[in-house]
Amino acid sequence: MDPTLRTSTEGELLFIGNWGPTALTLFIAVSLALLALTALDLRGLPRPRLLLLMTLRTLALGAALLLLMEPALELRSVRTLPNQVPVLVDTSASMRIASEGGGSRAEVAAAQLDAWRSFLLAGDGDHRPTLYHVDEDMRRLDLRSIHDALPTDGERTHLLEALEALAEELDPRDVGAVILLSDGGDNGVLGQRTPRGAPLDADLRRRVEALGFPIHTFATSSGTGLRDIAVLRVRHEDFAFVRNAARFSADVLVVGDFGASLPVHLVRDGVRVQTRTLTLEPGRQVYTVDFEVTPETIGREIYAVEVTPQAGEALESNNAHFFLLRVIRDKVRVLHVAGRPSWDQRYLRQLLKNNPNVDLIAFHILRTDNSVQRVPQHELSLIQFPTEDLFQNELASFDVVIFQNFTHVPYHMRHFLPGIARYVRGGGALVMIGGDQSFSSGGYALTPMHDILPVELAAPTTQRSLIDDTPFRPLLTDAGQRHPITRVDPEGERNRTIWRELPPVPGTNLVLGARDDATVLLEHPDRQGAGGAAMPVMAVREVERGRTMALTIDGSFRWSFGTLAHGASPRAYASVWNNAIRWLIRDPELNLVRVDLPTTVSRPGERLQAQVRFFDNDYSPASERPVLLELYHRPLEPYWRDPPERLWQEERVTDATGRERVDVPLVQPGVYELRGRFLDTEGPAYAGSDAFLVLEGSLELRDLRPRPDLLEQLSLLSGGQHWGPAPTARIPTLRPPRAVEVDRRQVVDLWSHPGVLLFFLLLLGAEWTLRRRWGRL
Amino acid sequence: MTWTRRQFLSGVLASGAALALPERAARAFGSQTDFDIPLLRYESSGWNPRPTAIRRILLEIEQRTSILISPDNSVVEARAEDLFRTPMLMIGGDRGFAPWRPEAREALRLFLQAGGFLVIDSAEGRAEGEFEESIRREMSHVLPGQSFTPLSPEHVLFKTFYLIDGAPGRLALRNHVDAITFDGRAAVLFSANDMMGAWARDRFGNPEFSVFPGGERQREMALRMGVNLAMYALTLDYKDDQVHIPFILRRRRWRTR
Repeated sequence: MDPTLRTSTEGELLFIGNWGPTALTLFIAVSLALLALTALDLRGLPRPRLLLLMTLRTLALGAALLLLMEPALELRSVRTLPNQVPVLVDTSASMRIASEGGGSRAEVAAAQLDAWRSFLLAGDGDHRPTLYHVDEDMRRLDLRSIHDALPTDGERTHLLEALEALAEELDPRDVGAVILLSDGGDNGVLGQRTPRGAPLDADLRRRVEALGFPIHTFATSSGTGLRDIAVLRVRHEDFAFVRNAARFSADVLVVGDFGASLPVHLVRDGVRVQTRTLTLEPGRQVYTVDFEVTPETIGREIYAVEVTPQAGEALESNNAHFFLLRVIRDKVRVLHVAGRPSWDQRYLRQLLKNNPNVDLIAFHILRTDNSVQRVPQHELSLIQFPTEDLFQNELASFDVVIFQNFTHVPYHMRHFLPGIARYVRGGGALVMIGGDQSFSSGGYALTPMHDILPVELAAPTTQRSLIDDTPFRPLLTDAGQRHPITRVDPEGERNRTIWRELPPVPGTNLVLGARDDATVLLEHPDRQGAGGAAMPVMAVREVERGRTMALTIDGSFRWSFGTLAHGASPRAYASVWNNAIRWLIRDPELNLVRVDLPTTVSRPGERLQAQVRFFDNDYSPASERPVLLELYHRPLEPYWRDPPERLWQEERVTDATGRERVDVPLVQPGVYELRGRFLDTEGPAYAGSDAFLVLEGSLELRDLRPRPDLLEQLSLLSGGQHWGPAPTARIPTLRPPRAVEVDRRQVVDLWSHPGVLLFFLLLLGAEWTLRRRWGRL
Repeated sequence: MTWTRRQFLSGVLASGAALALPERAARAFGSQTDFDIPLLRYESSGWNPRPTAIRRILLEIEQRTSILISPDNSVVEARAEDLFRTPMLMIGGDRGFAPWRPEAREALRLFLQAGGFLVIDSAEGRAEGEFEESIRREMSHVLPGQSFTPLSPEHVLFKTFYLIDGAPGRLALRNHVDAITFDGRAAVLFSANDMMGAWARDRFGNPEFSVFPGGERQREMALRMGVNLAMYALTLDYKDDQVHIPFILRRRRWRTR
């Protein structure tokens, strides 16, 4: 038997008789009537004798009533269980910060525990203490192990949540009290909803009161003497549009004296881009700083808001707050130049104009030098064709340039052509669409434009025809079947059927063939190029950092207009051109190397489990191709001094799926970049990457200020005591144990005891004797 | 700037190539891509009141603009295989006509919904005559729920090539055209002013009909209207693009009369 348990016997009087209230009332009434008759009968007796006889009669009637109710005694052998005294010790990371006495907050808590050591180890007869860690969750803590330093690795502090979990685990009636040792720095519901110095709101108060046990709180720090600067939070959108202003707003905490001002920096990818000066005010701790940037490139950018660490700070790592910004395109800027109005140009322009993602700049040549001019200029709506603005000054601002049946010759644009080729090589995109003024017919052979097109052009001569005006239906190639431009239906056979059933187009420009590194998506069913292969009708090509597309027909509008004549859907036309625009601007969804990250923010100790997908030029999964996977790391600290460090790399050969899985540990905080590239092909199209952050559970070490106010309110509302940071040897007040266990139970009938009957008879006998003696029988 | 020999030779060859560009007369992709305005034949003796008009306006369009035209006077029936040759269609008439067959209406509806553009010109010589009445009746079946409304003078049709005030034709019965608009464009236009009457010339090139009340100046305006119609068919609201607006506003200060 457990020697800590106390055993005792308890008794309780019971009445077994189950006379109803009516019967009892009747008996009492009869008894009263009898007493009244007795009093009447005994009148004339001297008063003492009257009283004595009345008393005897009353006692006898009372005894009879008791006998009727069948009294009994229930005896119980009871063991008293000591109640619980959970002692919660905050083991979150903020407890490692120094307290005002010099030691850490955790050491202060350990000192308090040490002052109670004997109680904590053995309890007393009525109370049994149990020790728990508490941070983001709650776990048992072995007191015998805490002669070493208390752990301080919790990433968060959720005090109320821990107390509520305790209340669910234990019967609050069996809790003598909860003792909580903490700095009060709560980042759960308690801290988030209660401003510093403010009372708990009604809901939180209700929740604390509902716990059902007193909470004694020991504050390990009051915050006196704390010096620290922290970037508490940065408010930002998850994404921004390229070339559009993005705004960030940072809350900076300044605790302690740091002079009159502090610089706050905005860092992008390790480079300071902006600085704001914070003017410090006495008595104020939290400041808001605003930044505005205009991202110029699409992709992920790593930003940090940071304050240079100052001497004497409690912690330097909270001086910077990192975040990731995804920069996306808002609208695709397309320059559409048409050599003359035509149905093909009209349908393409309308499609582009109706696309909400496209910002279209169109210039169509409505009149040539051969046109008859009979009216003054002011009666025309025509404007000058601004070649210099478009092809020199503003060219770089366009994402895609479309030449539709457009020749450069009449506009003296020859000197702009090298610049257009450079624009493409530098990352731009060009589409050339056929017509009588396009390709060789447009004078582009033997120009820098020819070098970037995906098709070879014949030098025009009067002997060679550059155009075939026989209607035909272009054939979809195998590459076209898979390429995102011409894959208008994800289901393969349906895609082929759509292309087979499109209306014929009225002729084509003639080209010699496709470039070696071009991908042919549509080909002529009857004509061959110079090399004997089918003549390309639609071809695409990577040109260094840019892309080009050639479409040698000028009747693609019939894929829209003509299909409706047969009740078919015109979506093939819209799909082809919308897909083309996406491919030309390198929509990340269409990259040849795609890195799929499960998340953009991880924690140290987690694993990176990602995949990298590789595609061939025709967008089939790259199979049997040598590839390289790499993981780079850059530490999180102000002034990124060092270039990224390669933490891991692996050369592989892709299988038929083209997917390579990556599973590596993430040990340290920092900026990570997972890269994949083909080893057998150079060029930006053959590599891909994506970045992510690994951050400490940073909430705990953002705001280091302790919250003794929260602890005090917990005590007050629950009927507990609050003290600290000086330890005390006195155990706080604990409720006595309530819990009992009934070991044995016995019922003893009193009404059937002979003594009871004897007593009744004695009463009756005494009355009878006295009546007789006094002559009242 | 000094050129290398290769650059010089390339420049010479390219210049030669530019000079050797095919002549305009050699139609690029055949007449199938050239601009044409088919005339709809329907059951009425008055379906073609101005037989020479379309050919004449096409010639004017080619002379005045960069548009390549097909000089053939094409006539089509209201059947899908006919209507879907090219996205523009013209209807003329000078008298009322019997209701069209449902298949014809359906074919016209499909044509318009596919982006087709229909211009209807009355040669009746009076507003709200029987031809106009018949047209409104048919259009209410072809495009139920849609109706003709006057086109605003600010509409891009009046600035697609020429800056025009009003809707001139052989007559000036109305100073506007009526239009049915959907998908953000004027898909059907109706003129009561007999534009084709102003365009029509005999085989000697002489105008077939007098223009009233404005005479030859009004005829010129009617021809410009024809050019603008073709430009609108091919460019829609191109001239409403932001880049053109300052120029147009400046030029509007000198109103064309």
